Amino acid sequence: MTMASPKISTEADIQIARLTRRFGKVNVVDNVSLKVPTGTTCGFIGLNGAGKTTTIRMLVGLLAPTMGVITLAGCDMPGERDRSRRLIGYVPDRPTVYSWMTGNQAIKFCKAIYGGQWDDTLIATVAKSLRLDLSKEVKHLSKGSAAKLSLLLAIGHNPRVLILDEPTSGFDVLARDEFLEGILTVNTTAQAEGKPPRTVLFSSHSLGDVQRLADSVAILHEGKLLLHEPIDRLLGQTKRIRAVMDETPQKTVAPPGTVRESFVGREWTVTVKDFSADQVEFIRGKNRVTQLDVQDLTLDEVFRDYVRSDDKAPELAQA
Amino acid sequence: MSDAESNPAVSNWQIMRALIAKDWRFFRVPMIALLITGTGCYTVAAVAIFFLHPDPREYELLCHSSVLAINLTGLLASVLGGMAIAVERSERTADFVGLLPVSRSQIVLSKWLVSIFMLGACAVINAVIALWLRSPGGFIS
Repeated sequence: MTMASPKISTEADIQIARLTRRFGKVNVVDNVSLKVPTGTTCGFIGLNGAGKTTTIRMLVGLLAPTMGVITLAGCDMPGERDRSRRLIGYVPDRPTVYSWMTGNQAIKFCKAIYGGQWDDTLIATVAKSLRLDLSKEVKHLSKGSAAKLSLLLAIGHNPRVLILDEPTSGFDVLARDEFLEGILTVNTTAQAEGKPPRTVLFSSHSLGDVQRLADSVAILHEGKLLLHEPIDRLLGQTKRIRAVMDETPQKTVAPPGTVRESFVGREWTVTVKDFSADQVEFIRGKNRVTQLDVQDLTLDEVFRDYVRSDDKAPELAQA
Repeated sequence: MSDAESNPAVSNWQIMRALIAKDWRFFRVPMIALLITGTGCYTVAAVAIFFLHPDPREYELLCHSSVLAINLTGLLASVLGGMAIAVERSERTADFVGLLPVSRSQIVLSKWLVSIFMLGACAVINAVIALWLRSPGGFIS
């Protein structure tokens, strides 16, 4: 597992180290360290209340951390917040644009603020790809269209870093596809113009979206970062071993790297990270197994097993 | 250096213009409310004078209406002040503006300028009406 190093280097556009945010006596974000390499897309996933939005709000400078270091596009946050504004784009979980503005008025407003940095060509390309009606007022837009407008406003100044906070939650299938298509268009347009791809961090409950867009995935649970790994590696090295015991197990010995185990009758299921044949042999050698097979997992299953890793049967989960 | 960093910065005046235009629209609702209530003061006084008590001695009522409208302008000042922060926070539009490359002082200055202009205009109009009514050759005299 590649748990993020707390050291700060300059190769990553998004770097956070020992980030903590306390509300009252509760650490909503607890000592999180994460590094998203420049030009890559990171899916930020976790259950409701895991601390994703709080982390993101600290990242973009809307919330001050209790402790920790944030470097975003080379800017130390929140100290260099003003400089970072021209380098980052942020799509919030619900639209924050003035409801009385039309899409065109919102674009005109942002263009006036960003001046020569504003990229009309990019806006036109992405707006076309999103099939967005810019003549409507924000209050008359559907949830999907309002989020598309937020995306448009977030990328108009060609930011180095794009941060999206559950942008597709509550979307219908078509709106979701169009929105994701929009994100892909943003990067392909940049690459076609010879610009480096953007660094993207997006939180989502839709693991299908994460699998489709992200190069790496970070799982946050109860304020703590459980893992941050490239998706291919995570899926390639996390396996589920299903063992059928010769009798209902009274005591089992789980292999090193066990993430979660569960029992149904005589069937013992063990999810392991950094999978190797040694783990299979370990199970065979230490337990009375009659049948054993190894299964691949989807990102959805990996996520479930990681966040439910605490609720394994305690009397049987002796390693 | 990235595109974003190398692009020429927009002038402060351009930013202020955009913010003022936005705040002008933002404060439109309480402003229209004030215009309606202000006009209402004069309308009530005029109806009272010309239809209910057609007595020239009652013309003083119009002057009182001006004073009332000026007081309403004061009331609007607190509404605008509250709106400037509270509504932006509750609708999370503060996040939208807060993430743009504008300083907090520019955001506050824009709201302050628009509020001062709107309130000042209302106060001046009502004061002029009151003075005209009381002036030699005015409506009351």
